[in-house]
Amino acid sequence: MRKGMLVLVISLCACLAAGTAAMAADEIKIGVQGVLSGVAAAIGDKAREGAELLVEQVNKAGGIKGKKIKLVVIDDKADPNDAVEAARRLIEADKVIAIANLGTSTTFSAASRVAKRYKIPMVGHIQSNPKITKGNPYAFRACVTALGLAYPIADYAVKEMGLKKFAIMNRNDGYGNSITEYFAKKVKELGGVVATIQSYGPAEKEYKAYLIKAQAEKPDAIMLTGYFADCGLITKQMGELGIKSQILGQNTMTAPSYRKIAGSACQGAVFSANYLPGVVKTKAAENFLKTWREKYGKDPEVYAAHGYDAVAVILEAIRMGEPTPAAIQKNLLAVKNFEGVSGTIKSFSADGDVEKDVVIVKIEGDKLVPLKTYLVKD
Amino acid sequence: MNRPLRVLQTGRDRANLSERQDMLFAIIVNGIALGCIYGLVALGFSLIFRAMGLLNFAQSEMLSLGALVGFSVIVTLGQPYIVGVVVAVIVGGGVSLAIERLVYAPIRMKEGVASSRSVFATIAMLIIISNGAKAIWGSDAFSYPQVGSVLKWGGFSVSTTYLLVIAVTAVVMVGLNLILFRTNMGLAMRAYADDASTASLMGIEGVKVAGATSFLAGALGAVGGVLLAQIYYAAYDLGSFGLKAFAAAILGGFGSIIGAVVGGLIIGVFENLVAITISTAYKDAIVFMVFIAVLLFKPSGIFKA
Repeated sequence: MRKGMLVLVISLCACLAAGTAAMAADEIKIGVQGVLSGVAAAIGDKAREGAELLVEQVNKAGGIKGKKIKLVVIDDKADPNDAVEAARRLIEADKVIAIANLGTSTTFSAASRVAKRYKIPMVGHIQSNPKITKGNPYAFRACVTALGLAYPIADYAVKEMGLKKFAIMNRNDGYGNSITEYFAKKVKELGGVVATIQSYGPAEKEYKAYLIKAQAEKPDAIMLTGYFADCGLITKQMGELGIKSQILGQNTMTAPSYRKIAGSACQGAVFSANYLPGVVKTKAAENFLKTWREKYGKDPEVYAAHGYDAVAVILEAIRMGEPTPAAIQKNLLAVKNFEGVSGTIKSFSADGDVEKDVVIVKIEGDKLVPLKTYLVKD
Repeated sequence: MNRPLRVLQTGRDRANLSERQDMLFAIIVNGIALGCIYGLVALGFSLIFRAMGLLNFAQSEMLSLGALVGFSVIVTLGQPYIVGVVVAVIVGGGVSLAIERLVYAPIRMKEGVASSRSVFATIAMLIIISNGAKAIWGSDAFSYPQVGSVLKWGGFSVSTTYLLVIAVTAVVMVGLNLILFRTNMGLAMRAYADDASTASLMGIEGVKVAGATSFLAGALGAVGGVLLAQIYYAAYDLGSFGLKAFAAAILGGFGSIIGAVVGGLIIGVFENLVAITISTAYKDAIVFMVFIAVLLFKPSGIFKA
């Protein structure tokens, strides 16, 4: 009896699934997986909003080749196991033809291996670990890597600001370590000196002892490699200790929360950013900024713009040919000068990494002032 | 005190000594302020342990709760600072009281005493409160309005935020003393802590005492949370500071009121000095190793309960 029920339920499910598949013939299904809950939720959830805004716009304009776009969204909870499961479900059950990955470097790395096995193209939004796209022809990303964030700020600090001696506050995790590695490498290449690297744990909140040790080396500048919260506290505590060294940093410091936590001590800080509202002057970017402001009443953050672009390049590849995984993969590699909202993607390398602009900005009052733009090629 | 100064003098930059002494001063004031916050949480641990014999690990989560409630009232609702503190205290105390009534007391009733099961219940509550806070406020870090400025005083500079933390702790200590030694409930709490069964025979209701103690402990933790958020920021993960508060309570003499605060101050200053003179990376390990060493020689802690 029980078995009979089970069979009935399963066949019912199968019928339903077949039904939806048949109904869905006139739509193009794109998978979206990423961290939508938990500690790192800001990374993926804002990006999802960006991606959904894009799809809303495209569908309102009639879709692509008469077909509507449908996003299938799954939360990977920043867990590599969940990420693998999410990718498998999107590919096997939902039959998506491409996936936008709005997760962390770690989950992207895990999920993109599944994508490779099934030959489904996967485009990341803001995963910065340089290694994760290597050797996987199906892994792409819409952002520059840690190398792309670290080189420009090192170059600007040495060449344009005339700074020679640096202390690095290294957030001891994947992100911080790779920023530190590439920043130090570039500084040495340009003849500068990294006097000390102070490594702190991601959960720490008290940095004064590290700062005193860093300052003992009398550096021209202190480079911050962490997220907005730790960078904010480090900056605040520099102010409390009266340390006046130039503050350098990277992308996470574009977050308004960085300035709120840091207070007045962040004035004059200079850092590299891979997206800054208003700096990118393409039509797509200006349109995005306007729509976002109308919808949410504030400027979009870096995640939203990159979430939008991760799906946008997939749609661009679909416009260039057939809506099949193989054609999308081939056409992504052929994308040239695609005007995204986070900047123009000049092209993808064979590794799936972008050639794109990174901007150096300075905090002046409550504004981020762009100083110089670097074209980064990983 | 000898060691840090000697290390400073052998530092590579003698000309820079006064600047470093200034920073050392800042770091000690900083340690005292942090120590005060450890002390406030440690007081909660001690009060509950004295009254109910319960190791309440969930006490540390009152830091996050107080910090986040304070943020919502002060920043989101735009209320005056003092209103934020009062609401945080009421919510912290109320949650602590509710948990005691709904969870710990029923378990204690069934078991007769505060057993190891109760301790696991407190660890479960710790996780539930932390996750609950994350569900309500999310995982962002919220900054309080900056109230402090940097005071220059001779060659030394110090952020007024830390002085404020120290002053508030002093006021709270005086208040706590008044409650414990000048009110009937305080008398009942002390009597119950000394000898529960005799106190019960004298007509003191254990349930009421346990409730009042829990409220007080939660309120102390919430005040600590607001102060901690003023130094750093409000976030759901501030409870991690509670582990050191727990060590502070034990170091000071578990159950001792004065011991909790002294233990907090010792750990707060000591960890900062270890970080600057020995190792930043391993400061926590060193602090806890010294803590173990102290316990081996004097298991009862510095003060008697």
